[in-house]
Amino acid sequence: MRKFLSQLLYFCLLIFSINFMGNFVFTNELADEDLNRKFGEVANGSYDCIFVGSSRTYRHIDPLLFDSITSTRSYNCGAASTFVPEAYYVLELLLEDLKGRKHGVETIVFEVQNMDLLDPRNAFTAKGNYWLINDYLKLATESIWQTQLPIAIKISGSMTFALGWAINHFGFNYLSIWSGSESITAAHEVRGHLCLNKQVELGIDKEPLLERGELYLDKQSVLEQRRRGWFRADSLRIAERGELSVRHLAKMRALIDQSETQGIRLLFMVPPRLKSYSSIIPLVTQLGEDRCIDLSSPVQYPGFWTTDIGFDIGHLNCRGVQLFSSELARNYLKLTGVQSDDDRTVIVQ
Amino acid sequence: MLFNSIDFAVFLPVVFLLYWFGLAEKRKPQNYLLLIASYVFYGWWDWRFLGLMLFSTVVDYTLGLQIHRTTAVRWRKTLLAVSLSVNLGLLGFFKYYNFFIENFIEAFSLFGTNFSIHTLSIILPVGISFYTFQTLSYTLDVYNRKLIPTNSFIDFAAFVSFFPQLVAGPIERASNLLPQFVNGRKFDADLAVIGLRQILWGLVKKILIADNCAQFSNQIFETYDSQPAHILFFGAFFFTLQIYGDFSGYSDIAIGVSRLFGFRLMQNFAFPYFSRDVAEFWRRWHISLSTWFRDYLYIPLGGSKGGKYMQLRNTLVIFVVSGFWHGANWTFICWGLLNALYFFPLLLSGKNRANLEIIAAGKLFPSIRELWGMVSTFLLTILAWILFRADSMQQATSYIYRMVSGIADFEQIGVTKRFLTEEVGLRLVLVIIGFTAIEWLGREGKFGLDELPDKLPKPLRWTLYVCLVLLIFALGGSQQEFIYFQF
Repeated sequence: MRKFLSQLLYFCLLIFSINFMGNFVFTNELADEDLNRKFGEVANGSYDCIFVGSSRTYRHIDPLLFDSITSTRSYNCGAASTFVPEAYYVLELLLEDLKGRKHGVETIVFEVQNMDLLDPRNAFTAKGNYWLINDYLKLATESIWQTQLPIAIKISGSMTFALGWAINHFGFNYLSIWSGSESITAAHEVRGHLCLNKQVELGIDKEPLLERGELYLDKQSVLEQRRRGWFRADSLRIAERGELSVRHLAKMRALIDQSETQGIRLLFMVPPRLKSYSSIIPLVTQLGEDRCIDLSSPVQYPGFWTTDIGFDIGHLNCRGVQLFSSELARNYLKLTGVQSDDDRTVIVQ
Repeated sequence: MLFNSIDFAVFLPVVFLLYWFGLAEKRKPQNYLLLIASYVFYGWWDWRFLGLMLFSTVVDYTLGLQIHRTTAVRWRKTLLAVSLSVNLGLLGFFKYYNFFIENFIEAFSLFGTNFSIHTLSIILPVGISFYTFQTLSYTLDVYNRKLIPTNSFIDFAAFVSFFPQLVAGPIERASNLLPQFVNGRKFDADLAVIGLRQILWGLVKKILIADNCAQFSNQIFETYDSQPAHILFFGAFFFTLQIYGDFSGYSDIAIGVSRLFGFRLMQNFAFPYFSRDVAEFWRRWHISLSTWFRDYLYIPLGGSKGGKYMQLRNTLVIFVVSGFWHGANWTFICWGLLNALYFFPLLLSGKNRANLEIIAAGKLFPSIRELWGMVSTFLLTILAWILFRADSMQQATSYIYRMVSGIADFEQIGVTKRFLTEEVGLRLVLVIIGFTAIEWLGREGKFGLDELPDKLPKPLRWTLYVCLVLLIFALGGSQQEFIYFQF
């Protein structure tokens, strides 16, 4: 038995060693093919405003519409299923990438998200762990331990991140050939943005998207629950009892410093219709109004919380995208102190 | 729980370590552990059907003991009938109820009588055909006094639910598997090494061959009415490889996992696509089911006794029942019938046992005659698999008609060439060639990697294993459920 187990162990060690070398040699830092393509575009195009974030950036911000109001030349570098630490990682890589180049980027608008736990299934996918290097494992686990989650969830959540880290280093990621998604290819033509309705029109992953849309219409009460959730989180802010993640705040401040040393202004954007705002609102309060474009408030922007501008529960349809991009542009002008030549202010009600 | 899933990759080492280290080779606790592990394994799919398996286990355990203890012939027959009725009744309800209702209504509507009987939306419990046949073999063997039933309910329940072969076989005979639960097991390193090798080869078959071929066969069968004949041929060809990789891959993993726990299961596949005639194919394909039907249906029906007519009749019955066992659809019945038709000329000419030995044993290449036999049998098999894969008889006949009638249409060769080069690609072609070469070189063993690695020095052997592991991860197709789960 001992001989059998030792042989098995040696074989596993051999495989892990090969994988470690493979991951070290062959894996691109930005293993996400979709983002790779977008980075290439940012590096080669002459853009002055870049959007970084998840699907709520990728799907909601139409750079052409934004530019028509702000007179900027912007590019949407958002990607679907981008996790919070992954977004930090992407932003850091982008800043690193810009460091060595001659570029015109003046502003980066970074989406503020909830820090979700990594699903164990995602820990096994290259997309779910390619960004899990030592620093981000530390950030993720520290963030979990700063929450008010039950101890068992803190342990299992930390273990899942550790598993993702191990797979990123010793797993078979370097063998995966990332082909990139068709939607990003289509988005390439329109400054990296693709509205969900437009994707359905193009027939890309049409069926699952339509199912999502139908499910949303069937369960409209969820949107109302989320709206009430925003008010609850806001009342906690007033009472100064919100769930502020010190770790995230520190990370964001470090990113602000890093970008400013490179002459880039980092702004933060909060989208509407998120699952929870209990950790986001305190974070935004700490970052300050001069850095944040908070479009989440149902009081200020009731129009973003209506059923008819949604594609699914968390994402807007093309009409919603128009309203959102315009409102974002208007707020952007306010923060950057530039007056628009175009007086097309959209009132969202 | 799928063998090729992360869940199983965690489940197996945990059970293995508990089994050999936690319980220190004590038979009873080991059987308890296997029983619990098997119920977890099955319940992972749908826990609601655990009760069904438990019910079937309790019934056969009780009836087995009663049949053995009773001497009155009539009472023994009654008890056997109860066992058959319960097992086949459950199988019939879950698997065939809707089929019979639909056909009943359709048959009477031909005579102008309309019935308003509703079909039910029944979920087919995974593996019901497999464990039902396994428990049936137990009561039949006890009835025939070939087996002494066990007094231990735990041993019997562990035998029925043994997780490696629970949902897709091999369908073990109680006379082979049950004594292994009753007697103790000692860890055998050689057996475990062979087991790991067989698991690796099973994963190669499933992930590299079956899952890759599945994407093309699925795509072609779904759009068959707009595909040219040559592509339809490749659709059937890819399904032929898929079903072999899928089912024999599952069997290899099941046998390999059993070996890790000290159990020896029967061989279920013996390189069937290297067969020189259809009779040889059926001695090499799904051996545990073929021999089950031989022992519990063909022989009781009279077998080869009673002349050619009886032999033909019994063979026909076996093939039709075997087709029906696979599923409640006319396509399976016709698949069985077609195989019977393939079989009859061999039976009538007395050549059904002409090829009993391994093809080209001890040689590197087959003779021209053997090669011809192999290719022609393979082509006949491809044709039969179309019936098996099709959703309906209408689809099957239309598929075959389009494929056969357009086979001489050489204008479509450009389309086929594009399909092979641009869609299928050289990568998959090389994988299939490499796989076939290993299977051919290893055909004198029980599975592709059975004896072949022993001929290599250790560094080369390990290089082969490492390459196979890396190939699985690099070129594996997207995860598909095992085809035979539905049976």
